[in-house]
Amino acid sequence: MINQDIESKIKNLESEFKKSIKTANDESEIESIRIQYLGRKGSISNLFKDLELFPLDERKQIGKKLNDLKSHIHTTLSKYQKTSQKKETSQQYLDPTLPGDRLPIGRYHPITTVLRKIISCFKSMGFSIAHGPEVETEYYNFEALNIPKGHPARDMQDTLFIDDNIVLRTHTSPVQIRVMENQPPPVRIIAPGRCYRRDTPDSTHSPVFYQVEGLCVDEGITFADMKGVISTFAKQLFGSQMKIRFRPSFFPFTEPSAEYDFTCMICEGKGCRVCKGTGWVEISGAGMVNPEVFKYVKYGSERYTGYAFGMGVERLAMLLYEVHDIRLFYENDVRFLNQF
Amino acid sequence: MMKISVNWLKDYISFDTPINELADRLTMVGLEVENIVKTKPHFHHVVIGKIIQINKHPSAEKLNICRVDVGNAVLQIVCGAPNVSSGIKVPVAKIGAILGDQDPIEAKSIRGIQSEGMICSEKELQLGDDHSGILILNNSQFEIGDPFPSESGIEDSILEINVTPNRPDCLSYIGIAREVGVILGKKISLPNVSVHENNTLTADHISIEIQDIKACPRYCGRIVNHVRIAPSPTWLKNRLESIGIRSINNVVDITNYVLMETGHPLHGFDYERIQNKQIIIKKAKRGEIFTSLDDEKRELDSNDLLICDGKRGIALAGIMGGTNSEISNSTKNVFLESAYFNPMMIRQTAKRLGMSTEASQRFERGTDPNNTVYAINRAAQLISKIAGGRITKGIVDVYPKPINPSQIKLRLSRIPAILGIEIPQKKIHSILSKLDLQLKGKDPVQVTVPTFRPDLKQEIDLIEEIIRHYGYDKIKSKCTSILTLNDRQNQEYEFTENLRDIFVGMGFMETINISMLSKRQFALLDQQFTPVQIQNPLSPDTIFLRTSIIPNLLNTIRWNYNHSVNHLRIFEIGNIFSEKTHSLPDEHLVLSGAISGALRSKPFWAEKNQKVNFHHLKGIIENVLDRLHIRGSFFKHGEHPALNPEYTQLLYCKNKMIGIIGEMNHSTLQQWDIENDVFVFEFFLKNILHFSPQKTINRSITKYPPVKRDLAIVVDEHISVGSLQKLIYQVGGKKLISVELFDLYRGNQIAARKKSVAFTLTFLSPSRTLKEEEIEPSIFAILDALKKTYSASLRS
Repeated sequence: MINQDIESKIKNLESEFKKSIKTANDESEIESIRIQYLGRKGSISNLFKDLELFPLDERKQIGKKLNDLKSHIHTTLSKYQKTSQKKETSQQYLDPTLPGDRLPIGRYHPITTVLRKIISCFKSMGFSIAHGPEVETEYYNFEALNIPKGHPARDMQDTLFIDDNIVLRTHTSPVQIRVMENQPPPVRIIAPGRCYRRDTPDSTHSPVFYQVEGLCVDEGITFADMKGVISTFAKQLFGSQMKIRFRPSFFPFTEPSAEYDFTCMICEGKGCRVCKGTGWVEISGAGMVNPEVFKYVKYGSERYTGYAFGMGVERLAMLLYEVHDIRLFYENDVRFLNQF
Repeated sequence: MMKISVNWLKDYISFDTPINELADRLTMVGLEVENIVKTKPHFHHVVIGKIIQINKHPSAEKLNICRVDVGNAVLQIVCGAPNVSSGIKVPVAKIGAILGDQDPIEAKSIRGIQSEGMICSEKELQLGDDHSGILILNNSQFEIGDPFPSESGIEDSILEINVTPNRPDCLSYIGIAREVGVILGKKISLPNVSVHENNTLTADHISIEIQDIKACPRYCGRIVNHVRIAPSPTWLKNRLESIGIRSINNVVDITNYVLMETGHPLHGFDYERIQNKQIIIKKAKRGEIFTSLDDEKRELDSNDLLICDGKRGIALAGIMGGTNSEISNSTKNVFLESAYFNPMMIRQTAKRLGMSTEASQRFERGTDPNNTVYAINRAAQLISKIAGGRITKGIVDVYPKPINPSQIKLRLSRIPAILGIEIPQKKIHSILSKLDLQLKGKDPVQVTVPTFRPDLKQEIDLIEEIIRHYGYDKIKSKCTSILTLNDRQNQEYEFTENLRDIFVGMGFMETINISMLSKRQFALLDQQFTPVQIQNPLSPDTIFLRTSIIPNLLNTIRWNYNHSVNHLRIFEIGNIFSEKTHSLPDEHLVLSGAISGALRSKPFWAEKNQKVNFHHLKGIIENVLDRLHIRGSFFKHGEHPALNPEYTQLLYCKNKMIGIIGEMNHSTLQQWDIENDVFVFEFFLKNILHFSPQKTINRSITKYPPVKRDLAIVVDEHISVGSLQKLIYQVGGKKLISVELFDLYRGNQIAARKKSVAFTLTFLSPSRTLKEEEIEPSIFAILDALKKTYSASLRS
């Protein structure tokens, strides 16, 4: 019968396959067996073509057998393929000391990292983030901060001018004014951002730099609160051994004004070259908001008090990472950035 | 910066506090001592010697022959001083020593006796004026043979104090002494000023007229006749030179000395050169030329205040005198000026002319209008003592509207309200009164502020004075738990940081560049923005605010190429700026990046290190869009003067352009001397944020398997893969969920000018398992459409 004929053909094919696969030596032989049986014009395909001659029910029956054989050959072949690969590679020395595939790794700029540390610290103390423009009016940058035209304090910062009334902000303090103009107390914000001064670049000056300004205004806010916040910050950034020191200073927009210092992190307060032997490193300025400033933003200075502080991000980064030249931050030398 | 010689300071207040401690305490009251410079007169070959034997000179009665032990030798020195005695220690100038501008000391014979050096007086060592005898050194402190001076107490310390601009009073020795007095709880002593006047009336010899009372509220003048202009005595010279002031002559030095002492600038004119014996204080004429003491011709403005005589300007008020009336060696009679000028006025002129003098620095911060008389008398007294002049009778003092001390009310309750601590009332009173403030009443306290403290204007200023001296360190840190005031997180900030994370995660190095460009760099850019120009840039390289970050990135690439780093993936997030009339410029936060060199920064041995190309960058951007869930974005061909026209793609979402990606063209790269290919992108953060959905909503994942079908078609070379893909999506039906290119082939197996494009199509139903035959209609439709639209044929 044709039926039996095809079934025996299937059986023969199966035993033939078993024989030939056992004698196969390498991958190319396995591949030619695959083509012989499973190829488009191979034995299995041919048998499928013969199938068309059978009635439907038989077709199903034989079709199943053929399919079984097909998948059997397929799995056997792939098993053999794997073992033959193993045979081949096992002749090579597997060298685990070969280097791994190093895809490029990205890095954050150290200023970003320090900014993020600062921001997350103040966020944890309930401060929100505020932003303002980098190109500012003379009013926000100076006047509303109680630095009127012709005031010697304007000389404390060398300013880059766009025109008589527009400047590149010399500090992020104008954000204070913008925030207070737009909301009643309580206010608790930090304003990170770029600032500009007409400073010739050297190891401690950069015409572009980052500052974070902080402002807190509410009823009953005192100098003691400011000290608490800044000392918490110092400890979070540099460790719990950090001490802070406030010294009287002068800023037109705060009164009393202070400079604040941290324990020198290089010598831990013993005195070294970085701190010029004092055991302290200068961080930045702070103070209680001057009632004159409250007048500009129409806050009642009898009811509300507040403090403001600033900090130079590069300065902190330099102390944190022992970077001795501020210009390194703006050169973007990959060899420098790779360290962070 | 105020330089304070400690020895000089001790004229006004006595103390023996160690200098370092004093410096610390000054710093802690806001007078930051930035530096302490120990000075001592410098001598070579001057050592400490001990006189061990004295014999009379055989042929000169006043001379002695001393045998002096100088450690490694005993010298024979002939000495004429009356105060030599055996056993004392003295400074000895050995052979070769140079004292002042004298010739080196030599061994010589003095009246027949060999002398091998010199025992020195104070004057010979230029330590003072005393020439009555040799300098006898305190026995116990000195070691024989040590170089002189050792720890002799003759050295000085110069404190370099950073005086904040609100404290003009501390730009003087008396002002600093007052602060030291409060610190140490001691009284200061001011020099006693008494003037011996002759009978000539000053007013008969000079008339003073103020034409602008606002600019010059007070002007005092005095005349000292018959002075002898000469070099200053050593002590005066030394004092001025120790704080960096060049000695000129006795009269000029005295005005400078009094300026330093009192903080009040004075000016001395040659009286004979004052025309018509008239002083008129008035505004200059616009365009008027005035030659100042530094021999510069200054063109004046109608706002500048000028001191004039009967005919011409003779001094730029409060800033600098003029050559036409300066004190010279032939000057006999001196007219002294001691005035008070409006701070703003002086500042304006000094700033415009770019002049900053010891006088202008003080006047523009505010001098004491009520100290003019003390200062002028002090100067007159010193001139007559040192230069031998005669002082005429009376001061011509024009002071039409006296400026009175101000009154401030201090409510004691405000002190803890601001500072967070209670300060004992006694302490408050003692601090304020030691600062020379007068107090009346209990609470509120009525405080009278002397005119030398123009910085004390309100109650808060007094509170600062109190805590300044009470000690900032006495305020205890308060760490109350704070209820958060945060409203919803700052979206833009969070988004920006998220983007930063994504790019770093994709192997990009973050850079931060300065925000300025040169004109040339700007010209290379797409000039969609008008640049913001800086009026006073530090250099032409930084004249414009950047309108794109790309030039910055090219600078960074150039810098790193110069240092042999060629494989770069860099980015920056920052603002760019564009000019806007009648308001502040627009500031756009952008994200820019560049890739260049090889795909891997480190080679991988198992694979050839591929160079980056446009599609690597495109893939990165597509990944980012995917990460941010931005749907409906598409690339469109664009143009940019710095980009290769074939690879300039604008990224759109809906109808909004959100960014640009492309390959830098070679002519632009040549401007930067960059040889490698560079691929760049720049995106507007606001626009990306706008299309990035705020909310992520989970959709259930279908449990049915997808059906995949590969489709290879042959089309004309010029047909873009993107348009094929778009068409397939359009006609593929709802169940077609992805069309991915997996092969692009050109070559022998197909006709010329044709390419084979192979896609994997994926079909999926959310509700059931798709059967093979169900997707057939879609495949037919796709093939049909491809054939009709692009004459595509199925690749056999």
